[in-house]
Amino acid sequence: MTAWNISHPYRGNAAFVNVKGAILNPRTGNRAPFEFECMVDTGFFSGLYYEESLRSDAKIIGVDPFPTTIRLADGKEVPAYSCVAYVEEINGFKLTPPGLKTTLFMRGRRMGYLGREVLQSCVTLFDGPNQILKMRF
Amino acid sequence: MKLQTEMPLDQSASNGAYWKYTEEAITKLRTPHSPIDIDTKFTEFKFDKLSQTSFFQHNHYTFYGSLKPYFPDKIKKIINKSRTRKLSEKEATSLMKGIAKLSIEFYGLEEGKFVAIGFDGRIYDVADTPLDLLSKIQGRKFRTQIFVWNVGSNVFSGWKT
Repeated sequence: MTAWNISHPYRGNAAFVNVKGAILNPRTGNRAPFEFECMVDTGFFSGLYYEESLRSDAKIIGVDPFPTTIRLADGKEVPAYSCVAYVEEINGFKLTPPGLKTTLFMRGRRMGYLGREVLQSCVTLFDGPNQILKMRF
Repeated sequence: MKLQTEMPLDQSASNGAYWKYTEEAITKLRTPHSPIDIDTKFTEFKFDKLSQTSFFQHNHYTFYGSLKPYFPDKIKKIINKSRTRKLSEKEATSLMKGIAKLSIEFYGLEEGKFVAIGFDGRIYDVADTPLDLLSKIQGRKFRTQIFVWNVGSNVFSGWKT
């Protein structure tokens, strides 16, 4: 049986992972690294979602995130900022360089979310009775 | 002398108006002080009507000097507000929705595409997926602020209920 790359217990009733990555400026090669904890949410259609504070980090390397609108879980349509980011490490497991390319949305001061765009690159097991999240890339 | 009324106009040509100078007209046109010098061998003037479609396609998705939609007063008002103060979430959302709707109708974009629209109403890039679009435009400088949109939807992404 193939081993799981990531095995992490739930917190509360939800699965959380620690994500390390970076926003990259493709024209200059400069990177703005980030690290935050996020909830694994299969209802989120994009890749990553985090606080608007990342926007200033992106601007330092010449990446100006683009405004847009997104729909929250309660159906509300709100403005947010978007850009491309690379997920390099999840819970200590390093992904093949340069990492997983995904969309990153930034809004307000919120908890992070990890969505389908990242999950479709791996096998994910939500073991509810044992309260463990397992991922295999 | 008004050429349009006095010249015989042949409208049978499929490309548009077809003007033909008669010898009498040429004599009248060529006076000692006339600035017009007509070559009598080439007496037929034909011009093709520029169809709206051909002109539109020529300027489709160009960056500078292309046609752009006209903004109604409601949108102009919000844009003017944004110059003096920060917009509320509701104002920002309604501005992007309004501009996107006008641009998409003006350029005739198909549903399912992801577009980068300027706050001037012009389309700056198009792609099939959100990731492709953001990859294309990330790090680029634009003459105006850009926002990204999903044609056929009110939102770019998120929790789609």
